[in-house]
Formats: sequence, C-alpha cells, structure tokens
Amino acid sequence: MSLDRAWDSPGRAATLVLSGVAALVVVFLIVPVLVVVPISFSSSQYLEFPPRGFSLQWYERFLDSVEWTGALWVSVQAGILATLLACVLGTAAALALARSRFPGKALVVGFLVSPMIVPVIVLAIALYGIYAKLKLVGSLTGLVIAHAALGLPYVIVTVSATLQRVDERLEHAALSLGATPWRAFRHVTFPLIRPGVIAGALLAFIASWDDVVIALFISGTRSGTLPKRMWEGLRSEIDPTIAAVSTLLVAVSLALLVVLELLRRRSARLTGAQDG
Amino acid sequence: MSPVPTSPSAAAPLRGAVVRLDRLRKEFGGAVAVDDLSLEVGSGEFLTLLGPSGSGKSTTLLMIAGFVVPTRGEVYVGGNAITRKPPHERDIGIVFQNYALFPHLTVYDNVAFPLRMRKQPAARVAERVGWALDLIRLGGLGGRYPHQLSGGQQQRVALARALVFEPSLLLMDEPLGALDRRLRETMQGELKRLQRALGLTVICVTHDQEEALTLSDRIAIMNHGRIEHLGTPEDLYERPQTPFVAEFLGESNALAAKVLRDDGPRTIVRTTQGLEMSVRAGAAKSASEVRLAIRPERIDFLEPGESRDNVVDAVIDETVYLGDAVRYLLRTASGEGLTLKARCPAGGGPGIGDTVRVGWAADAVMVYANTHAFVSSSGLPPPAQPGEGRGGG
Amino acid sequence: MPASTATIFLGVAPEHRRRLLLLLPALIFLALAFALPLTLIAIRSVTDPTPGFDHYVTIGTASVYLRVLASTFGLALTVTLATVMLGYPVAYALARSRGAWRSLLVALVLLPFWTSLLVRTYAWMVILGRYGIVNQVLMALGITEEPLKLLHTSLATHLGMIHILLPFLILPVWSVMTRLDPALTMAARSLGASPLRAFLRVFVPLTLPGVMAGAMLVFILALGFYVTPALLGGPADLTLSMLISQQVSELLAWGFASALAVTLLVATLAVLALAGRFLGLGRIWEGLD
Repeated sequence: MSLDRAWDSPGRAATLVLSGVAALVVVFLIVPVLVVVPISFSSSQYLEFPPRGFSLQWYERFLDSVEWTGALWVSVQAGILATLLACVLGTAAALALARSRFPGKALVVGFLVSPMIVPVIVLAIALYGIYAKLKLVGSLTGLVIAHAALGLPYVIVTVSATLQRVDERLEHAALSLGATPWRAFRHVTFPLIRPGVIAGALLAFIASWDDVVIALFISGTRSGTLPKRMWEGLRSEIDPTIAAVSTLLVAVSLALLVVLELLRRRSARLTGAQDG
Repeated sequence: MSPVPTSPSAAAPLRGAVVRLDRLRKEFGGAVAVDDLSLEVGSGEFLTLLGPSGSGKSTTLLMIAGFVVPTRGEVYVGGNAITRKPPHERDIGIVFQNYALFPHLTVYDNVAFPLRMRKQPAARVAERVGWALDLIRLGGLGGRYPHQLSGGQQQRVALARALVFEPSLLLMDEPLGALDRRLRETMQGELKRLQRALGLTVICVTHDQEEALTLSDRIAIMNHGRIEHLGTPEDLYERPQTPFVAEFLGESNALAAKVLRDDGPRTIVRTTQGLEMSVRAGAAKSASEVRLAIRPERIDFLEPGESRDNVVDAVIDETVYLGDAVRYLLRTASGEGLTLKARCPAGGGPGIGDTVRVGWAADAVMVYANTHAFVSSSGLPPPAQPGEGRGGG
Repeated sequence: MPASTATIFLGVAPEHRRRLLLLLPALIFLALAFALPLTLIAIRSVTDPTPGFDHYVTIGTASVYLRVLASTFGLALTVTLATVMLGYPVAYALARSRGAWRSLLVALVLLPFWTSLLVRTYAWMVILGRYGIVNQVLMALGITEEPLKLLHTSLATHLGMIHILLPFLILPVWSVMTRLDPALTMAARSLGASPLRAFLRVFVPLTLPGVMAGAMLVFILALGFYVTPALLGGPADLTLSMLISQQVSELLAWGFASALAVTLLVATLAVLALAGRFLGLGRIWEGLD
C-alpha cells in the first residue's frame, strides 16, 4: 500500500491535538499490560510497587504448585483440542460459503458467527444447565465442545476472508487439469488459504485460552483451567504468583502476535504474487 | 520460426477431437444465459465465440469445461456425451483468463501438475514437462515462480500446462486480454503456429474482435445467448447476416430506411432523414421498413467528374486522426450523419467545415429487414428464428 | 463473469450443491453445542419453577432489577462513548503512520488486544489497589495522606472496560481509514477547503461507518461484560451478567436466572438488529458478505 495519506491532514494545530491524544491513549493501553512484568520478578513477599529486589520465587512457586501446573495443562489440552475441532468444522463451512449463494445464506452466516456476540455469561449458564444433566460438568470433553463453539466463528470469518482473495479460477484450473475435488483442495486451495487457517486457529486458541466465564461454570474444581485458577486467586488473596502467571501469558500473547504478523506478511506476498 | 517439437509419445501430431454442442441451454433463476445453442467444431479447427459481455459466451465455455451444469442439452467431445462428467474427468485443457497459474508452485510444478494428478511415473513427468517447456521456449525457467515471470511468459506457461497432458480439446478464455498490444501480436502468431502444428481443436472466448479475426478458422458471434452468425472471419466481416453483426464487428453506419421502388438492377430506399440511395435489387420487399449498414471505408471522397451509384454532398463536422487512416464525421444536406474512413491523404485532406462530395456503391449497402416494421407493413409474422438468415448485403 | 452471474441468482446452482454439504458439520455442531442449550434456557425461563411469565414480570416491574438493567446499559453507553473519543485519534495516527512508527503503533495496540482479559483486569487491580501504583505515587507526592479508595469503584470498572474494549473500536476504524481513497480529501482541498474543513467535512464523515460498526461492537460486548465489573467494581455496581451469575451459583434460582439471560440476549440481539439495519452486518463481520 503506497497510498499517500498526507492530504488527509486536518492542519498543523489539529494534527498536534490528535497526535497528543493518540499518544496518551497508547500509553494508557500499554502500561497496564507491562505493569505486571516487574512485579513478577519481585523478591518481596507482598505485592508492592515499585517491586523490591529481583527473584524468580513466584515463577518457582508457580512451577512447584500442582494446582497451577495442573490448571495450565487443562488449559493447553482444551485449547489445542478445541482449536482443532473449530478449524476442521470452520474451514469446511467457509469452503461451502465462499462463492455460493443460496436462499437464507445471510441467516446461516449469522447463525454460524453468533457465538461471537452472544454474551458469554448466557452461554455459560446455558451450557452449565445442559452439562449438569449430561454429567459433562468438570470433563475435558465438555470444555472442548464449549470452547470449539466459541472459536468456530473466528475460523469461519478468517478463512472466508482469505478464500475471497483466492481466485476461483485456480480451483477450476486444478480440476480441469485432472485433480479430483479433494486433491484440488489438498494441493491448490489449502496451500493458498493456509495462512488464513492458521490465523483463524490462533484466534480460536486465544478464545479458549482466555475464557474465564464458561470455565467458571463448567470446569470442575480439580479440572479447572488456568484463567479459572487465576480468577479464584484474585477473588481470595492477591498472590504475586498471579503476576508470574500473567507475565507468562503476556509472553504467549506476544509470541502469537509475532506469528500472526509473519503470516500476514507471507499471505500478502502470495496474494501480491497472484496479480503480479 | 523454429520447428515445433513433436510429442515424444507420438510421432504424429495430436489429433484434436470433434466437438458438438446439442441444444445447450442454461438458465440462472429465470434468466436465460445460453439459449438452445447448437454448434459443431471440426477436428483441428480454431473456433472463437465472440460477443459482448453477457452474451453467454463464457457460460458456454464453462459448460464445455464442466464448471456450469447445463439446464438441458448435451456436450459431445470425440463423439462421447460428457455432459454429466465432473470437470476433472474431462481431459480438456483450459487456458484461463489471467492464466490461473498456481502462485505457490514453480513453473515446473505447475506444468507437472496435471501429470501428477494422473499419477504418472516421475521419469515420464520429467520427459513430458521438458517437452512442454521446450514447446513454449521456456526450457530454462522451470524453477521460477509465476510472479517472477512477465505477462507473456505466464501466458506461455498456462498454455504448456494446458497442453502437457495431451488433451483432445483446448479451451481459452480471453487468452491474450491481459497482454499489451505488441506482445499480443507476437503471441497470436505463436498460438496459431502451435495450434496448426499440433492439430489442436480450440474453442476460444473473447470480446476482442481483432484477436478473433486473426486467430480463428471460424467465429461464432453471440448475442443474448444465441449465435447471431457463424462463419469465417471474411464471411462475417464482408457479409454480416444481421445488423448486430455488422455493428459489432468493425464499424458501420447504421441507418433506418423505407423501400420506395425497384429500379432495374437496383432498389431505391429513403432514410428517415430523407436521403435517397440505391441498393442491390431484391434485398428487400417493396414498401417495407429496412435497416441499412455501410462500412465507413466503403464511402469515398469523389474527385470532380468521378461518380458512384450513390453520390451526396456533405459538410465535415469532425475529423479523427487514427494513424493509418482518418475518420471523418459528415453531415449531408438532408441532415444525415455519416462516418467515412480514408487513408491519410498525402497533401492533407479536407478539413472541418469543408463541403465535400462523397459516394458509395449500391453493393456497399447491407440491407436488413426491420422485424417490427415487417409485421406492420406486410402482415407477415416475423421469422421464427430471429438472427438466422435475414437480409444480406 | 458468468461464474459470478451464476452466484448472483437465488437458488443453488447444481455445481454448488455438493459443496454445501460441507456446511453440515458446523451447523449440526452449533445446533447441539450452542443453539440447543440456549433454547433450553429460554424454555426454563417460562417453566421453572412454575409455568408462566412471572420472571419477566418481576424483571420488568421490580425497581431493583430495572436499576440493574439501566446501570448495565448506562455503563455500556459510557464505555462506548469513551472508546470512540479516545480510539478515533489512535486509529487516525495508525492510518497516517509509516514504516517503523506504524509497526510500533500496531504492536502497542495489538499487544493489549491479544493479552488475556483476566491479566489486564489484574493489572488494573495492581494499579488502583489500596497500596497500588496510583496511591503510592499520590502519597509520595504528598497529595494525599491516606490511600484513596480507587479499586472496587465504578471508576475502576469504567477504566478497565475502556482499556479492554478500545482495540475493538480502533481496529475497524483504522481499517476504514486506510481503505478511504486519498483522492477524496485531495479533491476537497483542490475545491478550496482548508485542511481542517476537508478533514471535518470529508474525511470524518466518510469514516463514520467504521466508527458506527466499532461502536456497536463495543456496546454489544460491554453489555455482556462479567469478569471486569466483578473484579474491579464495588458492591453497588451490579451488572446484568453479575446478577445472572449470582442467581445461578449462589441462589440456584435457575428459572429467574434464565429469564435474566434471555433478557440480556434479546437486548444484545436488538442492538445488533439495529446495527444491521443501519450498517449491514457485513460491516461488522468483514470478509463475510
């Protein structure tokens, strides 16, 4: 993109005001995210700021506690399984939706993305109600199903957006050259939408990884997720172990962000190559 | 021109299949995109479907390829009905608009793709890809990616990929549309050479008449899902069967007129503006309303004393310089607007505002029955198949 | 061309029919894991403990519940307005930035966006706590002797929610801004508009669809917020989500909780329908038209 936005300038004075506000807001956005980092390395027994000394005691405590590592393991398992489920279902749905028109399509799309907008507390108690009857409360299966439902819209939206940028004629070309529909997907369509599928997978993983509310209701006390364990910690005593966990979570977010950016660049290169 | 390398699998060139479309019809919702179209393409023939957008030419191509399922009708290739076959079992090579080269595969892998889909052994794949790349003279570029190639090179790779599995039929969708003028001319020659040498049957879709005229053995002009006129390029240009064809292919002066009387070997007609002219006798029924078409290059400036079947004085309203010719927009005394196209005169021709004498032969006027007037003036029903064999110049 | 003509018309083209089967797994999955539980909740709201609409009558008449409804909407509205005011300049800065500056800005907006909501809420507890950063600074500067009560207040809820929801406004607005044809403001300038007037009369109005889309998204999300108000707010700042949770986990009042959940769901869908009416849903779900 080499659009020149310089002519959008509202003049020097107004630009100064806008930039000033923008700078303050960006500081407001980033400071709370960074604030937890120094606290997690504190050598003090209490939560204080500025932290005193340097130690890894809170990380040690995190790793030594079965409660915390168990919760981490539950979160990782649920996240990965839910992401896989959401990716398979979501990619298939996106392939069906792309370039097809049928009566009621808007309704179908609306339904498929609705888990994104239904208040999570509503879904949480609804699932809790039905899981109680099915004896799924506290089970990994129940958690995976719920989280896959949360992540599915992200996969559908991201993959659909990527598919729109892939020329339909490439699929037609593959078919005309003798590829079966499956092989056309496997060898042509999928390699081209892979960045979109991975991006959707990351978003679906985050949806699961970040979920507090559903886990609060449907994961049991001993099979709770990391966010659930954190929530319990925050409600009772504010233990600096949470700062260590938070720092680890920020690091994970940062890593995912970098992966996404790399994917975006690769995808831009590929689509750029298509019309080049 | 270097000789075309023959296929390693056969000493003789490929033989293209005969293609037959039998009353092919496609409706989308209630709209008819292709209307009972029948057509036969001979083995080794280059046939172009030419028409404006929305004329049904691309839908026809997609039905032959198998990407659009016809509402009814059949497609025969080499005598076999393939209408119900999925696209990947049809063995039809296609050069897509913008080529549809797989951006994530190298040139080599793009060309090898159809062979690998047919599970051919690696040695055979290498041999065939080598043959195809030599065919298009890109032997050294197998390792490149499509975006590293120029437009012309991409075009050739698309061609190689469509030919490498020896299809009996090649379809092309606006094959040269994305190339600049110079390259287009080169590729036209190349394409024609390959098609002749390999004996390919080709069906091509385009809206570019120059491309159609230079490449095709025959052209089908399509409009509203039907074929208006099917014939050789010369046929189409010199003897267009309908006013639509006359106006679509090349330029023409379109005039509405009424037949006055027969006058020996001529018929006299008068345009709505009141310009009288003689046309070939027997072209139209007496007193009927007709439509006339005259090619601008068939109207000449007349020297003093020179004469034609039709002569008229006119004023030059506008001149358009075209490089190899000049287009003059004229206005006759009766107020009729005429376009005249002439070679650039050496000493500078007439200019805007000049009064000139122009003329044209009776044979230069193409006469078409006007369907609506036809009914009102003679009481006869209109022809059952509009677009077939009416009028004639 | 005809390939797209084929898709414009209603009715499924035969060549697309088989492809549509790929929709089934996702539809069946969501029907069971999502639609069914929500339907059961709706049924429960009018059957538990006795059949009838008593719960809805209670919600619509008892002033205590009306107050919760009003404060939930009020909170969502304030947060939405604040994100618009604060987010627009950031989106503009993003749209104007180049090279390394842009990468930095994008990272500074996206990192919070990607960070766990719970972590960000926790950070605000650290900042606003009794011995948190703000109070330490204020006391060090001698502005106050005693630590102020900042945490568990309505202010804390607002700050936390604005912080968490800002990226949801910034990103769609930024996207609309970058897609805006720069020739439009250039045209306005060439027609005699001052920079400020060109900005206010051309640039801002043309970016409003993005602002509306972002604001609707923020509003809808804010309506259903639970974690942040529960951890940062005071006892008086009860939101609908917190009320629902309380009814289920503390009072086991399933019928009433279900009725509250349906109320929240209907309110959300109503806002969304309103948004769809004015914007077209496609604006919110970019890429899916």
